Amino acid sequence: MRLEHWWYTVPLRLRSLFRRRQVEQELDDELHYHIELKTEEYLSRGMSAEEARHAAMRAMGGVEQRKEECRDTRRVRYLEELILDFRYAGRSLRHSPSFALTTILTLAVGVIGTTLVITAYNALALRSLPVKDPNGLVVLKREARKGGTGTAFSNAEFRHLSEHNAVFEGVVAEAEYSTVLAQLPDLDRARHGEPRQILTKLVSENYFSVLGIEAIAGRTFTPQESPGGNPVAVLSFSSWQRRFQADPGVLGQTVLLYGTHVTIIGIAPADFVGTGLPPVPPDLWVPLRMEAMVEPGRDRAAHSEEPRFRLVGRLKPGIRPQRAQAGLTVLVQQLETRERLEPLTAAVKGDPPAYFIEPNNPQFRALSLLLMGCFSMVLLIACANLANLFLARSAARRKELAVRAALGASRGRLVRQLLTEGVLLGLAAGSLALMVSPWLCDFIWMEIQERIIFRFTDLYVFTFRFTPDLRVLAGTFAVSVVAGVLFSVMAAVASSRVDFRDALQDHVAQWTTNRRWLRVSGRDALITAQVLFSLVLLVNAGLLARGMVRGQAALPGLETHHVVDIEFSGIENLGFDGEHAAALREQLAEKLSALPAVTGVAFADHVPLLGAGTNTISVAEGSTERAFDNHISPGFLSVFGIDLVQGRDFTAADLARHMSVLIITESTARHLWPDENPLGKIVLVGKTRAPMEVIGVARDACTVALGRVEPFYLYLPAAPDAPLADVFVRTRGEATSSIPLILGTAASIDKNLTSLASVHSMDDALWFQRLPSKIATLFALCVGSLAMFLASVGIYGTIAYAVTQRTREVGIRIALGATPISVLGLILGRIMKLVGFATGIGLAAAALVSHVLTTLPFGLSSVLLFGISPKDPLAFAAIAFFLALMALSAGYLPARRATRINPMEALRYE
Amino acid sequence: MSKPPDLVQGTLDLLLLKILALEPLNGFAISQRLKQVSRDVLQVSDGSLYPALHKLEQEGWIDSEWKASENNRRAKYYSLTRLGRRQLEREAHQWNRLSAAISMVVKMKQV
Repeated sequence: MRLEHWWYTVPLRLRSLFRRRQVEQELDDELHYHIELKTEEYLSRGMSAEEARHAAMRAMGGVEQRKEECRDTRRVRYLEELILDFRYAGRSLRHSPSFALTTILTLAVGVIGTTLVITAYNALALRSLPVKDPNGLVVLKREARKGGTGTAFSNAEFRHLSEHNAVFEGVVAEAEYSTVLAQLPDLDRARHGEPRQILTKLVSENYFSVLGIEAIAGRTFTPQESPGGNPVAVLSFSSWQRRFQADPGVLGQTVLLYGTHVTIIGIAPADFVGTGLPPVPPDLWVPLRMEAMVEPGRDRAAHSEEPRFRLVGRLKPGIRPQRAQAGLTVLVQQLETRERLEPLTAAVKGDPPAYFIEPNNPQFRALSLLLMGCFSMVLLIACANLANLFLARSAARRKELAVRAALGASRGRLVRQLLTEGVLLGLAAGSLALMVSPWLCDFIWMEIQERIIFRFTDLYVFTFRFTPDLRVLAGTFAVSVVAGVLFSVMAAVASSRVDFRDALQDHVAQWTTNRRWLRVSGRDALITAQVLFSLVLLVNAGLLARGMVRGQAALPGLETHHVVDIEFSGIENLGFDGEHAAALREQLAEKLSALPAVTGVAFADHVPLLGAGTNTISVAEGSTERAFDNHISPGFLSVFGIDLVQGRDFTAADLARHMSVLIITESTARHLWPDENPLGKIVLVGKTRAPMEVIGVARDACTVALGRVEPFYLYLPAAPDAPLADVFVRTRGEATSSIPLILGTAASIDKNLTSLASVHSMDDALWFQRLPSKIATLFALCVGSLAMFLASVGIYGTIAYAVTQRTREVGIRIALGATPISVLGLILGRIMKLVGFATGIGLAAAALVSHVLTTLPFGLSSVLLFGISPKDPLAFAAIAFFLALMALSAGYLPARRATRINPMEALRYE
Repeated sequence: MSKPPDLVQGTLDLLLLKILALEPLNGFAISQRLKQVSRDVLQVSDGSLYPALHKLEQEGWIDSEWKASENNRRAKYYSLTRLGRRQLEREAHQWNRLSAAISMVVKMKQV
């Protein structure tokens, strides 16, 4: 019934809308046909031609009125008016392109900023794992008795939990990534390629089935995969694309892992990136029971209890994570008692698995709050601008509105017209944001990958989608339109309060303005808000920028330019463990030192500037202090150009005899023995409080983080047979130019060494240290200049407009005998009062916010500010001065123009 | 002045539908026909005829078509649609009930 109704009516409505001219013509024809026939009828009754026509017209009672009545029946009037409104709005915006452009840009800029932050947050924290029913999954977390939480569990705990729990349908375990040397199948030549590093991940055999992942080709693991059977692995989609050009022939081929043939039995789907954080898919997933193939060099007996698995459980239907917790805690504690292990576990919790970052990671939270804060401030400034722009425009259009009202437009109709304009602007800004933000997101992510991630490794492929999703885009659009509507309504309400007759008569309203000069108006509040927000953003941007300048110039106190760092990963899998590692060290040191370009070779556990071990130190009678440490070989200090202030370096003999000696830094010495000679003193190191003798004092250097000297830092002798990790080579010339030579030398010992090595100049480490401040500053400068741009437009526009509006008044004052100087003084004084007030509040707020910068947790402040005080007077003064200058020039130019105008002209102004 | 005083409110639609149920007609012919069949008792003013016709058309009850009239001029002819036929039945039924009720009241003998 309803449908049939539409069948008839919809074409009619469409026709009325889109064939309007024809419909109108037909209406006209129809009515005139009637009138003609009627005229003929009257004629036949004997009336004169003119009389007949008049009578016919009279009977109709006014053709135009009838036409209107007929049009009313078409039910499209509202739509027609809407279209007219849009056309009119479009026309009137075209007539003031600067207003339209400023509004659209302002709004779009504000909205795009927030879109970016929300997109990033969304992509980092809110995405759920791409598995079947991710809500049913929990990641197990251990709350340690000593405090702190971790997600690592041992193999025994995994087995125990999966056998005895009552709450999970299944529990899966995954180890950390392992970098392995593999010979991938070369499909074209039907043999294996050269050995190269790939990423593998050990997972329990039920991994794919519990997560509900089906292979897109081949199969996933079955519970029967056993250590004795044929070794198998599942290939990740990104690896399939990258390393095999998506050739399906790879199924059933084997990868050579340290001599073992591992068959590729399946390819994982494209969106499955694993369950690890961050979402980097490995090349291969390998069943846990086959770990001996992936890490043949690993001493599994010694590390059997090492907690190295992340556990993810799928809850049975209807079981809440909270309910699962108690039982799991008991199970783990049971195992600890049974195996007589150290009781570590206070509780086991299950949290929903995150995709990239745990949303309640405090560091991430602080950072995202900061970002959101910045961009909401930008959005607020943009909104203040919009409010100003709309108010100014509606004031300027008072006359036009008054004319339309006088011609019979109802107030509602006028408001609707203004609203349409707002909607149109909002739509335009929204579309702009919609077009720009996905592109911008792509661009930013490409830059990050290009400049940061790929600089260090191409092994890790982040499957990170930094693209605004539909919800975010819809939100973006909605916010733009709502902002457009909101501000146009506000302006409409403000202007509809005006008496239109006054507006037409041009008019008394401005005459009584003297008092309004002094009153705090909405516009004053807006100016204040703009100055305030932009001050906060600008001052902090300024601080960060000054911090960066200092940070880029800050020297670590150790040589980076001439040092190459070679990192060997998983080298024990090639058989270089224990004695072999010691032999390899000797060989490397010998062969590398023989190179003419090399002046020194050293080994250490940690790369300065990139990492350090943690330890404790105490003297017999003193308290225990937390300290950083590094196990180094003899010659390490001289390779890095760290001078010994006192005492001597380690010798090969110290290392060989496992002497209990150590070298401390100046700062450590100062803290422990302020006025004594530290040489020969005994310190107690580590949990066991092993006594060690101080044999040397090294100059302080920023070994952990740039711009910071650790109070306690220990250099300990490296055991000669410890696994080989990092080799440092001091070169004569530029470090990077010697890299091929160094790699060639390593290859001459074992050709597989080069494939396991990643080589960098230590300058890269320095660059990495400087990166956070660079990024933060870049970001702060972006936000700051955005704020500055918006604030300049807003403040200048508002003040200039307000002053221009006073042109008449200025003219009258001058006509009445005021000197131009006194009038200028009046106007500028007023502006200065306002801006001074706003600047005062703004500076206080900025100081408050920048104080927060220094209290940032995790040492962020020293990384970002490099010792710049948060109350750096230069940054504050410069920015306050800039804003005041802008406000003054915004007021001065139009005011001066006003004083120059002939008073008579001023009176006629507008 | 557009509403004739002698037409009960709402009955114009019924009359127009009924007339068009017999054959397609143009506006002028409709007003003639109405006068004719009601023996000049009912007449609709020219002013209210067209808005009423347009309303019926927009409701989907009548359809229109431009055709040559008997005097060989192009005129807009209205005809009933299926929807219109159903509407006519409904309105006729209501009218019958209403008029029967009214006549019952009118014929009521004084008690």
